[in-house]
Amino acid sequence: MRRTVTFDRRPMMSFALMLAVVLLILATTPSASASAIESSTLILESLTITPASGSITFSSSNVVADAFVNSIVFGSESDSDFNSGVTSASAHAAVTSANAASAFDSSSNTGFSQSNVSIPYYKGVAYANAAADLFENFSITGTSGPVSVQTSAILSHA
Amino acid sequence: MVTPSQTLFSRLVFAVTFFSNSGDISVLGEESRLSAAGNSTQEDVGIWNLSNSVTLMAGQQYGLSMEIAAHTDTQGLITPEPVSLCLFGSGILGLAAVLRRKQALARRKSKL
Repeated sequence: MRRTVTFDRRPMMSFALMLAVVLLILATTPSASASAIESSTLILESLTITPASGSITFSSSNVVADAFVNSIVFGSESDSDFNSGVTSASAHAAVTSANAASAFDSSSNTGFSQSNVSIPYYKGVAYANAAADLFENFSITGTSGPVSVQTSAILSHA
Repeated sequence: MVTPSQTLFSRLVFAVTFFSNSGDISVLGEESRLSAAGNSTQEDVGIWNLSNSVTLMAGQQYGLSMEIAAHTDTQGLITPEPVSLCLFGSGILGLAAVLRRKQALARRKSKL
């Protein structure tokens, strides 16, 4: 007995139709071209320390700025920066998908810290950290006893 | 089919502290934390106007520390598009092959 293998045209047509639908879905699917973006900024616009009587005398000052970034997006990358000074300091670190910067100037009492991350196609992880620190020694002179000291700061953040 | 999403965390910190031999005095402090997941987005933009009054002793030595910090941590979450399309496509092809084989077997049986 001779065995013949035949293909009915209907299953083939169903398969072709299914394939056409799949191709149509694939062609009309929007590509994920966006990025995961995050940005943090803190800006110190003014810092004032005012005693009710007498005056404030600063005896020493030290400013420290540091920045650190790390990402696993285009491979593993990291960068860091650290600087210090008597009156001012700044630091900046950057990799492909993240950057961080910080600075402070004690003569104007202004500074900022900023960290940004942008992960293309939402694939990967990234971390950014920035900080600016001020350390000072002071005393209240020209008066005696307890003194009320008013401290005010204005910052903008985003 | 493909849903890009993310988990993100950000933290802003500002702090001013006076310290002396008798202890620390927290003078000014403000902190902002943002966290989001999925496709949601959050925005926190504004001004911090901070003020505080503390009593110090004239003639005594004090230390001052101030910190401005910004921290960002983001993780993208996505099934890579080519992989998901391959999975979907191979599934459809497999289903079609099974149906075709079933029909061929049924036809063969009926001819015998």
